[in-house]
Amino acid sequence: MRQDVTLRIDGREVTVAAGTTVAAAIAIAAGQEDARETANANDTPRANDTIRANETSRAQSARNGVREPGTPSFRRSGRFEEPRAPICGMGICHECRVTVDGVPQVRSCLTVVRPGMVVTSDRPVSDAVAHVHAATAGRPPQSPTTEAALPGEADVVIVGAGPAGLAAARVAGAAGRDVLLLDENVAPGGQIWRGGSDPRAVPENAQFVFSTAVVDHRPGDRTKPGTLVLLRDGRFHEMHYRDLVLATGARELFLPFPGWTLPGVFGAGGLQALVNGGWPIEGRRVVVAGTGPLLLAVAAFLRERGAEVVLIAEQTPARALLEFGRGLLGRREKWAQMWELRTALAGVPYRTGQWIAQAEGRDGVERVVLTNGASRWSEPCDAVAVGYGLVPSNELARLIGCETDDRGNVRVDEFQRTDRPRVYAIGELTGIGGVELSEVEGEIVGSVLRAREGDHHPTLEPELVERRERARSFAVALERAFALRPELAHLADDETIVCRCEDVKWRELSSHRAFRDAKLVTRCGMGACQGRVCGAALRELRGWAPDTPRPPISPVPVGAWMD
Amino acid sequence: MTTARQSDIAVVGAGVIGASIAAELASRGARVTVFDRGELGGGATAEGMGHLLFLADSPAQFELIGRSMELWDQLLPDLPPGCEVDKCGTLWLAADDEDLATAHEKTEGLRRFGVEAEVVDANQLRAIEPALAHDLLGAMRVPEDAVIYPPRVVSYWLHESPAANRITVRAHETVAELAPAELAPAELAPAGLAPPELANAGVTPSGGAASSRGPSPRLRVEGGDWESYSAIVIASGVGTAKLLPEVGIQPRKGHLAITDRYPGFLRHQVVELAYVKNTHMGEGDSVSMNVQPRSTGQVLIGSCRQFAGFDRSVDPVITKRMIDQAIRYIPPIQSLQVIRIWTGFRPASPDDRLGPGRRAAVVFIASGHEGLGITSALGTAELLVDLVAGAEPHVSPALYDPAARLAGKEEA
Repeated sequence: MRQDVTLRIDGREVTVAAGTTVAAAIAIAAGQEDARETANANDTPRANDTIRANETSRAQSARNGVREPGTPSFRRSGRFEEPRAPICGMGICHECRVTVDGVPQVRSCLTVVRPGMVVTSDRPVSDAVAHVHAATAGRPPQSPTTEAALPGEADVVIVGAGPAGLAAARVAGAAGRDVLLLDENVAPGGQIWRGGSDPRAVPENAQFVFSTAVVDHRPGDRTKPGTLVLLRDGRFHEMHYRDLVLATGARELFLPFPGWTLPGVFGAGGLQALVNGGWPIEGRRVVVAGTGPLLLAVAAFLRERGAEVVLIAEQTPARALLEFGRGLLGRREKWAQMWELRTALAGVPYRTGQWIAQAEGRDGVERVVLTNGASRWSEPCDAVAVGYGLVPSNELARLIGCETDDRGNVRVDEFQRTDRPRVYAIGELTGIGGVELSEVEGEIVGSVLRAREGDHHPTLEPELVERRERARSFAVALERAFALRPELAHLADDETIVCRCEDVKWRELSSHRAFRDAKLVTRCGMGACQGRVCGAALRELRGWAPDTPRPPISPVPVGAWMD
Repeated sequence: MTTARQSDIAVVGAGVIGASIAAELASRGARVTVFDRGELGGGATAEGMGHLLFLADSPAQFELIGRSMELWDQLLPDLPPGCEVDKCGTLWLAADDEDLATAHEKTEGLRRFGVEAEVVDANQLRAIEPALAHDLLGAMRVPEDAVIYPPRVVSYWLHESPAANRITVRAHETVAELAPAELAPAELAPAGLAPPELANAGVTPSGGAASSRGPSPRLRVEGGDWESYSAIVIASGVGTAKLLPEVGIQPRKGHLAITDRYPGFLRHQVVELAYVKNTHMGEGDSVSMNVQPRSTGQVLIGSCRQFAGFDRSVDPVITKRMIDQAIRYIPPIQSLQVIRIWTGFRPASPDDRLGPGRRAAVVFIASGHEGLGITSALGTAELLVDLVAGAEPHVSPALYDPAARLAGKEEA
């Protein structure tokens, strides 16, 4: 059943499983190359080394002074030409950009391998530009989707097929609404379920449109509904909606620390997403650090996939954890989850009150410096997964004009309505609260949409309201227990890069007092990720509100404008 | 209550015009206070393309622009790296025979003023700029044109230029009104009316000088008291309409799109030769291809013009027209990813002429530069400070003076 795909990466043929992302294929190819180099250095011909064999050669390579198999460089940063590799695994950080079939700056995390594909990484983009000149005719190649044509309008459009969006689709669809569920990714489930152990099916009565990004929005008026501008197969598509449900979820908060731009430093969820896309992790030593229960889930997942989890560093002090645990006494299901994770992680050191102060290495991470505030020590590793929690992915909501609070959460009323007519928001977008809260908010929106037209105060089933309250109170307790310690706001030193796209250092930002002011002078936030990474960090570290979002919400090839 | 600040000159607007004037005033010894309702260089200065272009469509146009380009040429080597100076030159592209004739004409025009320019034929064009469409007939090449990143230049002028210590910056302070008594149009004054101390080679004007000409001009910041200055310069771009509505500055909306980084994709700034005829064809919407390589490797795609008030929304129809035009001239651009589209407002004067000049005895205006604010900033600053100081200007102020033009209009 499993098929293999052969493609060319940086001049070498590589065969990987179908469905692997280009990002993962690049890492696999680099691992094979490392193994070959090591084998040559040892005078043992082992051209067909697997990653496993590579693992055993690591000790030898260290003795022989051969480069350790680390994370390859995908690209060079714009200003300092530092080696970079993806950190988010979901198309946010833009550090995974490579040239695919002659098209430069393609996000390899979001692109699935095709037979015969030609990929070049870690080269100056200008190399690819000559190719672009040569290939004047023809449109940039796009991954084909197999679905039928998109409709020009839909009764209910739900953006985001994670737990919240799927729940909303299920309930609204069951009530007879014509539901269209959009997602940028190839599979439903959101970051939490995608490709994982618990993929949820799309409800039968909803249409799922995958690999489709919402790039812009046009407001409606009293007579006509609003319009979403979609990008699919490199083409624009306009879709009018009657009701719009935003379920765009969340992404990881990345806090800059010295060395965080080294290849091999990942977000915790980012590494999980990459591994789900086929990224080789077997035999790699991984330090998992940051805060919250997600660390345990990620560590257990990585271990199951063959990684050697060196340790889990939880920044929260033991005292706060204990208090949180006591609060869970009445919640059997939470204890069961914890117990399951604990069993999966037997033997992995779990240290509280510790965090990563620095990552070190030459071309990629080789060790991390950990601290408890009093002393510092280092821990060798091949990869670091750092998770400091989540922030809402609110660009579309803000472009539409929905009101957000000072943390970027979209404000909603008890019916999950935003302050824009016919626009609802559910899930992590309205405040980070986890799967259960997301699902119940989805069900609530579904039942609101089921209600009679013009009914401004539909009755909510008390059971739903009660579940939402319960999930919210758990989210609040979680947030309180795992609040970020003040030291984390001071990890960056003067030379630490804050804006990865534009290579802007902490020092350059020190004299500025607002994001837009800093942006105009330093270019901070002006790069390909449009301030998604540095904007969230600077909101956390400096209290800066992000700049007004500008279309397109994600990059659009110029060719999309052609007829 | 009036705060006495009579030793200072106030500049309203910290865009490229206001900041260059402030730096010039400071370099001639004045103490300057610069106001802006937002961030420094955050208006049209940040919204526009940032090109330095030689233009010689009329002697009047060239007089200011030529002088300005001369001053830019002296300044560029001193600018910090963040200013993204790239002397990429401009190719004015000819799509048909009419364009080609225009290319020859314009080349002659520029050469007459001593500006380096040449006509390149179709083959040469393909060799020096391989991304261009193969059916183009040729181009006028102006090698000394450059692109810069203006907001960073503004920050250089206000914080780092040699006399920046004489400049006080008051960002996020909106000047709400000017003292009405000062706004009666002055008789166009001979140079002697300016503060004599300033005229005497760069000494800060004193309160005494101001009082000899009657009361000092005053301004009031939103929520603040009246403040008195020895002179006030209005350089607030489209914001000028609020303070001096009678000058008739209108916002002319533009759209721009910028791509991810593709170093080497384009080597020159390219503009279609139809630009000039497209750009000023009256009140309708117009699109003119103007695409720049930025020093970051990004490609900046413009341009279009609309009168649409202050509506900031991105208009999908004109965006498509603008991008279609870029694809027509640069077909491989279709593989590039657009990461951001935005709009901005050029300060357009009713007669499309640049506006450095005297508004009243000691109130000056430098606004209405439309799409040429960056190019003409240094020439404007020099001329305006000459007017303030009563010095002999390099260029004839009457060509640009909005007061003179207003008076002319009233007579007509």
